[in-house]
Amino acid sequence: MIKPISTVFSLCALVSLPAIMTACNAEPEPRRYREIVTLGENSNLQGNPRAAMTWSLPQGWTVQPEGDPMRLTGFWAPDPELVAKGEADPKPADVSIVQLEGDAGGLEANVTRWLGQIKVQGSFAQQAIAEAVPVTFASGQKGIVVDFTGFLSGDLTQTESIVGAIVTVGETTVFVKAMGGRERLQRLKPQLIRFCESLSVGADAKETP
Amino acid sequence: MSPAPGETPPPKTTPKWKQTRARIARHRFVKAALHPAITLTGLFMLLLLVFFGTLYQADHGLYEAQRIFFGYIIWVKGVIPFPGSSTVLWVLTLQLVLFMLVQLPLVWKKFGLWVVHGGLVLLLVGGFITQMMAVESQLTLAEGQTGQTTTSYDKWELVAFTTQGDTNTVTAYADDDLKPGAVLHLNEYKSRLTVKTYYGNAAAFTSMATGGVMPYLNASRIASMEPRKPEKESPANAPGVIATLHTEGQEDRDILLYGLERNPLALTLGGERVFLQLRRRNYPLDFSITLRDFIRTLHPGTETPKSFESDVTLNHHGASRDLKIWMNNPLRHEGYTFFQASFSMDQTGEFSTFAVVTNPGRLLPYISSLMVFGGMLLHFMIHFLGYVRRTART
Repeated sequence: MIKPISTVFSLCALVSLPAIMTACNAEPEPRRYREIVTLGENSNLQGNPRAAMTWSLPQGWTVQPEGDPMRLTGFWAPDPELVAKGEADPKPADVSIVQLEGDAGGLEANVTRWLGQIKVQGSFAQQAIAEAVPVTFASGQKGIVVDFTGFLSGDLTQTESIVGAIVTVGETTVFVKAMGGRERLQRLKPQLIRFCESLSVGADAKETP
Repeated sequence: MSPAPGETPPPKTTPKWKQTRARIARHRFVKAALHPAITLTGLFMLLLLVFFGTLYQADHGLYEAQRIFFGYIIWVKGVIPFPGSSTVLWVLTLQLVLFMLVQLPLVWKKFGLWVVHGGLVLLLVGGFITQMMAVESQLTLAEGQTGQTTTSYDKWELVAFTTQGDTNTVTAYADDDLKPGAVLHLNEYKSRLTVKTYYGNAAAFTSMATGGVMPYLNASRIASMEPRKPEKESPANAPGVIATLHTEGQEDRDILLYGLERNPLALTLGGERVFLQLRRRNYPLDFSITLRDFIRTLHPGTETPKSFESDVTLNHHGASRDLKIWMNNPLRHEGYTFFQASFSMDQTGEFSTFAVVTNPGRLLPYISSLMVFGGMLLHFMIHFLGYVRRTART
């Protein structure tokens, strides 16, 4: 007959071995390695050397988790009206920053592409460029902010729109695009411009303190 | 010398080690440790853990369920301890090994059972090796791009690195080490970091939230952080750490690193330009892979993908090999397996993402399954042949 106390002792002995193994809490040891920064013909990509970039986020904006490898970074920008009321925005605008080599196909082609994303005729591109307002990054590079909130798609069903900045930075073009509800974007536009004006990109970026 | 005819052979003496083995097997602690109640309780606990783990996964995601239920202790309601899968499996493994060492009969007739039990031990050992050593990561490449470093989905590291040309020299501390009070030595830069706060998932706020005050050194003007509930899918978590940086000959400074920052914090430490960053764990490879072409085939007239293929070039030791990776046909090289996982595309081209898995215990489940099957067959055959022999005699 096995005594219960023996079972308890034996069980403790069986459990204690792994417990001892896991309880050894030594001082953290670092892992040391060398890594090659990703190489490629296409240098627009994640992992490739990019311009340093710093910014100041408007109130309520949050950084998006990494996902799309094309993006330098992304943010959720809530409706400033709701932020002022202290309410959460269930449908914040999606703000992305993308940096591409050269002029990335040219200004008009990119504006046409953005218009296509909200199903607006590409023929509005020239009008959008003509109505664009100038913007200057904190690091000095100049560009324009296009606003599509006044354009409607052919079937009048489109609710989403785009407000975005296109700025030439050295040999590259930086796109700051806010996509979301039309009215929300109209209210967000001043914040987006202020955000662009806080951006320091490239060799002229403000050095980290 | 054999006994003369008519003489009784001397009684066989049991070897001393066998006597010791039998004595250990009779010890009450050993008998208790080998009690079938422990085995049955362990198996029942595993049943419960799998059942509740599956329910938990529905609300909290796979990674969180794995972390909780495959750990050593589960704190039910935060106070009641319950053994996790690791503890239960350890107990069952040790019991199995103890059984083989002291109780399983050492006779040829039981050889099949030895093989079966050996297979079971191997299966459990394989499980522990996978848990401890398997690494899952990913590699995203654009057409024409070459990659030599894979990145973890949900594990993070605090790194300090210097950069020269296209090579970074990295000192990395795993996120598991970032406990408050932990000291992270950066001897090569005559510095050390003392962790003050670490959040596994956090929201970060710029200096507007603190009225323009920047209490920490940070590359993105982040001034404060707040802890957040872990995300359902752990790769979506964004950790943050606040630590005090001590450098010889400099004043102590508090730094803040946030997982979603794109740019590292650049500082001069010990006379060198050093970059500090909290990032997903990187795993450098001894070889590189170039994506030559990504091919996506759609079902005719639809946007539904039919197949994905990646034409890659494997570069190792100066030699190159052109290979193809497609669904269920991974590339295996140097212990790494590259699976075609996903793809993305934009106006600049197509990107292919590979799930990269390295697991030293990858073959053990196959070997152990074969052993269990072979052992059972052997056991059956030994007894069947014995039966046939006995029947033939009678």
